[in-house]
Amino acid sequence: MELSFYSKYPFTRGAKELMSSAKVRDEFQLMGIAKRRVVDAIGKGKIPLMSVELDDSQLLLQVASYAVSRMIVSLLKSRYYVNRYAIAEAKRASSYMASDSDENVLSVARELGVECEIDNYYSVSFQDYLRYAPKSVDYKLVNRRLSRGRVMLRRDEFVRILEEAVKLKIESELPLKTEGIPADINEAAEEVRRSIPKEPQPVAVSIENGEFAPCMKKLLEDLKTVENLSHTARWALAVYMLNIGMKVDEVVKLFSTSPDFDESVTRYQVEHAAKRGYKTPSCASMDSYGLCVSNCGVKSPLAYRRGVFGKSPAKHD
Amino acid sequence: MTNPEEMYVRSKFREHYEKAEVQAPGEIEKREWGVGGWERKIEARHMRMANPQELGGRLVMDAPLFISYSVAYYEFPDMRPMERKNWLGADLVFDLDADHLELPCKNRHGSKWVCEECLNAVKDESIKLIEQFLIPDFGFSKKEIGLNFSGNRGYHIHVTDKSVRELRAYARREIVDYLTGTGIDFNSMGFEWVPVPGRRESKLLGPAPTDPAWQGRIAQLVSKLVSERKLEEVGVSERDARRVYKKSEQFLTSIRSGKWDAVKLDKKELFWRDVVGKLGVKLGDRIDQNVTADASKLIRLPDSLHGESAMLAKKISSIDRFDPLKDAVVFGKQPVRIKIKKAPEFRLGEQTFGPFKDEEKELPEYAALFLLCKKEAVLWKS
Repeated sequence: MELSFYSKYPFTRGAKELMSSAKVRDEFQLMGIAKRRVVDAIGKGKIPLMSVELDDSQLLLQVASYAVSRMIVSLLKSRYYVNRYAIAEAKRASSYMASDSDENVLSVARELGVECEIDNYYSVSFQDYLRYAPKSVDYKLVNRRLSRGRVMLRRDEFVRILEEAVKLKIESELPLKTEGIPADINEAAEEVRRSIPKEPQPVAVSIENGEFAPCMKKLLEDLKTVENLSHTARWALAVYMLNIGMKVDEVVKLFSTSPDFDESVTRYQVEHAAKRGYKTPSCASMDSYGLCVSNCGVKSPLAYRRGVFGKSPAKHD
Repeated sequence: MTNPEEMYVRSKFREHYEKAEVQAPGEIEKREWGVGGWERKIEARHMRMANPQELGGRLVMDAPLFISYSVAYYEFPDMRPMERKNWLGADLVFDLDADHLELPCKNRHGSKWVCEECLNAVKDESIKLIEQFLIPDFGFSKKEIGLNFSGNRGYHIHVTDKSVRELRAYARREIVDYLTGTGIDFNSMGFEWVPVPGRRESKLLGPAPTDPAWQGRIAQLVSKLVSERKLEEVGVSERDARRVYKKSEQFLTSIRSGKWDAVKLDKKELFWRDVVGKLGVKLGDRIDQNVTADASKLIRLPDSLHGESAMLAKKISSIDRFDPLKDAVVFGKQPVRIKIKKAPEFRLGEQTFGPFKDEEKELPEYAALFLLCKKEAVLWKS
């Protein structure tokens, strides 16, 4: 493989091997690139793509900066930052795959353990598909072409699947053990910490005289424990919150704890949902999105709240 | 165990297990076990069996009225609560029950009894699941799919292939939705109204019978309904259907290339619901389906006895020829005297019995055990 491949996909085994033998000459420059990589990933949610005119030593610096970034992120000691970093790295790789050769994309796929066949379509096993496909209505298996155990995808959909696989790979490898990390990297991590937004604190949500449906409670918990919620899950939660009378600002704030939070995108979507007057999905829909967590005997998460709402507190005489 | 009926049934079950060979599931030491008695199908669970010999011993010694094991593999199957077991993966298991099909015969005999009609229907449903979904779409081979009678009203289908073990609850739910056609979307199936240049109308494009998955299945069904003149079954009005039949050859040719113009889909919603309803596998309501998707449920041990019927949860090699009311009967013919409370007419083996109401009878052992297990009879000692 060429150096340019490793610079685009620094999480591959080949890139790792390369780093164990290669020597970076300018340590100072390396530290600068690595810090910026982490700050961009966590602060902006996006790592800028490399200039196309890098020479070999600069490409090598790019690969090395990934290795140092991982140490910096590990030193921040936060699942939230790890997730946010992994998302940005995955998006970066995804941008490259979108315009890379099939051969290179397939190499990345193999590295991630996703086996793909190309024959008019890009096909992956349904097991890999279910593991990595976004949990949204568009990607529901029932609406896919599934034959002999393989799901047929367009190229952009295949790359989307790989993006998720990259994210999960990076997330699962972090944090690294932090003992023995050199002092200059520790210093870099402290600098990074000063230039990134603070880890958001969970927003306390409560409504008087009523209870959230168990599925919505679960989604709120998931938000707080910094898991990456699917688009459908966020949408359902947002619409539910709007339907029970929460203001757009409050709903946006609710989502600020999510690792891939982008205020302008969230605000746009919540406002859109409010404007269109979307209704909370029915229990049957919640269930088919895989979001139903309990058998509460109502038809809509909203009805659950009304049910509790209507009843007077239980009395035990 | 004070109840004489339970003691009698257990003694007969024990006799059976003494001579029968019951094969243990794969990786038995990683499974959780549960056994049931007269009152409940699972009275004790969170048990571990180290090896097939231990299982064989337990069957003879305890003669459980029900025995089930986890579809899941655990590091510590006997730890509790569930989280401490450490889930390692699970087989993919489908539970098809005649009771879930909501057939008209259920109004006659309720959930306690079965009849030829509902047993045949649930058998057809199992064949559909295997031959139209698991093999062509999911790509499982016949030898990866285990099939057994549930021992009472349905069939259990086990996929034990390693590739399905790590599927999480979400993935299992997606598979169930795929089989039942839940969340299927008209546009994703290739249906599209395309404007005709220079005219104010548009024509309908759609899937072709040669397409894979649901797309092909839908086109095949509609082609079949056209050639059999049964389009009304999917909500196409009689008038429109007749118009299609007049040119059915032309229609069948055009659908082969994905042109659906000839079907007038005025009642799209109705058409859609009926088509998907006909093609999907009936796995019961959402709650029943959750059970199918549950990666920690317990499932009856194939070739064990069912305590509500005294029939065997028999493993099946060729379902087409399988007759549960005959092939799953294992007990003998020596007469047993019982007092019957109430039972509709039923067939077991080659013979038809009943209906009975408050009578004392001498029945072959297998039929007497059947009624004792249904709790519609007691032993009659004169």
